[in-house]
Amino acid sequence: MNPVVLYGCAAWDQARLPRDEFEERIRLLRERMAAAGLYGLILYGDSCRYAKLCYVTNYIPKLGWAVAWIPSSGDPVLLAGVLGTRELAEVRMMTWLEDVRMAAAADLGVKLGELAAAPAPGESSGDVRVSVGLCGSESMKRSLLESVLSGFPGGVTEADGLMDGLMRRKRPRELAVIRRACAILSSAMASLKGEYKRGGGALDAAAEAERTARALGAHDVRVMFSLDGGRTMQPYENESAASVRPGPFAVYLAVEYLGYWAEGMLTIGGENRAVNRRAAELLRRLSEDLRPGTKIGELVGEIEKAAEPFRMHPVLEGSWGCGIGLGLGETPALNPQSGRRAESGDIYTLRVGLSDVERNEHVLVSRMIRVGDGGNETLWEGRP
Amino acid sequence: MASERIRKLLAFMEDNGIELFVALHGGVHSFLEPNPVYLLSGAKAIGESMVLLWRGGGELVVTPGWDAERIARRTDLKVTAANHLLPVLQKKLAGARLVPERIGFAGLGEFGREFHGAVAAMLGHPPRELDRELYRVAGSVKSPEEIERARKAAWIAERAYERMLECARPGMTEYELAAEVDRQVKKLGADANFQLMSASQHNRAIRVPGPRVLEKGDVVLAEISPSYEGQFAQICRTVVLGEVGEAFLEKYELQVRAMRKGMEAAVPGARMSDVFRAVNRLLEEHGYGEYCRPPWIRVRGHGLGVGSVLPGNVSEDNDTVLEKGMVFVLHPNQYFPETGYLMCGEPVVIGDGGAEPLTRRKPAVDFIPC
Repeated sequence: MNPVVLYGCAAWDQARLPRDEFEERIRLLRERMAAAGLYGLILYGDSCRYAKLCYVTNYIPKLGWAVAWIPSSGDPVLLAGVLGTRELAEVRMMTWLEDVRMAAAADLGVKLGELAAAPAPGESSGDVRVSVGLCGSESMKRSLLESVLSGFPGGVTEADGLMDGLMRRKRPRELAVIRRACAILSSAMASLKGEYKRGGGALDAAAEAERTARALGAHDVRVMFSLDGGRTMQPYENESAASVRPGPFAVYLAVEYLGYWAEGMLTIGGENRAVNRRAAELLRRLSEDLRPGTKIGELVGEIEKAAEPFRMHPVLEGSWGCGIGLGLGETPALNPQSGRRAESGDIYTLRVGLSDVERNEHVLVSRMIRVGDGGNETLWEGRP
Repeated sequence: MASERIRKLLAFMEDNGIELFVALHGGVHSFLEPNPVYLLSGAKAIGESMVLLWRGGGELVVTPGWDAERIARRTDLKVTAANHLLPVLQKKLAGARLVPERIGFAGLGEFGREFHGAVAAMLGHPPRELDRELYRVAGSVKSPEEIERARKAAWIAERAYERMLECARPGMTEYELAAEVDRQVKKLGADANFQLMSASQHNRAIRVPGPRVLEKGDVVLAEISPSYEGQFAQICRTVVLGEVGEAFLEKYELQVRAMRKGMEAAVPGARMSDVFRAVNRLLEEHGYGEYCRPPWIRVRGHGLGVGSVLPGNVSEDNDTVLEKGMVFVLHPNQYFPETGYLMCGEPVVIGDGGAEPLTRRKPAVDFIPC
């Protein structure tokens, strides 16, 4: 369940992600824009789908949306769909961009059109412009998209692909932040296990895990847990889960730190069951065999065969994992239909969930890895 | 209440020639945005969801499919599991063979152009969007059950604030304090929370917690908003680490009096704008008129989703007439040049005699010795 509003620790951490990091990202983005013949780029993000916007601006909208205007030269502008000008001070705390303005859905297109029409430094107003790109249109509410398009009678170019390649290979500072997110995840899982082993119920354990993550600076936390031995998963509902001590206890926990996600699944108990042992074996195989150049679809097809006679757990929704970073579900997805290859530097969350339907036994486990030429690095691994 | 709302909506459909009503939700649960699916079903799905309501009955379609079993325990509607809404909608519309004018939609605006275009293509016609009508007909007031949930959510918020008073101390960061409060909210059974928490010796406004370390002399501001089984409540509080002078207490008392004025004005039949003016009038009389307008202050409270955000903001431009059973937060939070921003706010329900607070404790600033 997506959170109500993001309310964890929020600030631009200039020690971990200094201004020059974003300037370099913009430089690389502008190279791609030039190659694609784009004069400017519009980046959309909201509190749920912010990856591309955050990659360039560090800003994650708390409640609503924001759009960044990236001209081919000159200063970028952040247009934030906040409720009032008072909120702009808060927006400025979370971005390195100096030009931050308030915008409403109704006039967004007009404002973007004006920005696009303004001459860039060194450019005369008579210079011929080529097209403007748009990233994130699939996530935009219809009314907002129509407002944007109204500012560009000549149309815009869908440009999501422009950033996908740029964002797939994580930069060193991104990797450092992801490692920190994984460390927070480990601490949160340790809190959960500690609470559970001390006799706490499912709700207490989940709440303690979330508290730990937030107290370590997580900006967003997603929690799901099982009350029926891992057969089904649920979010927080009410206090009825407080007294339930399911065995085995399956949990899903994702933490977001400075925009970057780490996620983990863990099943506490039942380690000696056949279904648990098979899950552990499949997770190990996935972790070791997903090497640079590996055809993802072929590997996942082999994993699926090796899972038999157990069934894939329904919460996996047909996928054994995916890329992870500024989004919880980045490309490439690990499913048998994938025609893509793993690349050195890819970061994946690997998810294994199996069900022994006859015995009503279920297990969910996961690991995060970084694919490398000299072998894969485990970034996070759950231990019951 | 969902069944009562469905009854009202069915009557509206009958009167307006609607054969099928489609309520949609995208799965992002915002405490300021209405959720038409929750309104009609009483359930919050993990992903996208949709209620299909015919004259003869209703159905709730839930994504992802694995969440359907949980949702079925929380609604009286028939629940269908799906991985995507559009194929189900296409099948249902094809089977219904209705002219587009006889199909009403709510929540479609939350979706993207592609989804909207696909629906229009299925209909061969722009969809008839009836969001306002849905909220007017079926979403203006809370049911007794929802008011009880709001009361429980307010109870959770007050317990979480007590936890804040137990742990706030110089040396901890804003986000560490916020984490302790949020844990209490979740442990007591909230399904969600929205929380702002920040501190300074002189605040201009409240914001999300950051890495600032609390210091002696800080004024800590808190807005705690738990949701209990889908119904939100919100409290606003001010805590001082240490001591303050008489002027501070005077300003806070003035703020509390402004809230009482607002509550006295919030009677059935009054308009929300009346409540806004009642709060501001007292502050203006004391010379703070300049600080009762943007950019200092935007609203004096707001409705609390997820089912409906009616009666909307406590603002000058909201002429919604208050009715018994409406729930909202009244928060005359105020910037005073002498003290900075101070907060007091209570969730209220409109009863026969006017606004009744859902909280137990009378508004007061708290002090933590240090």
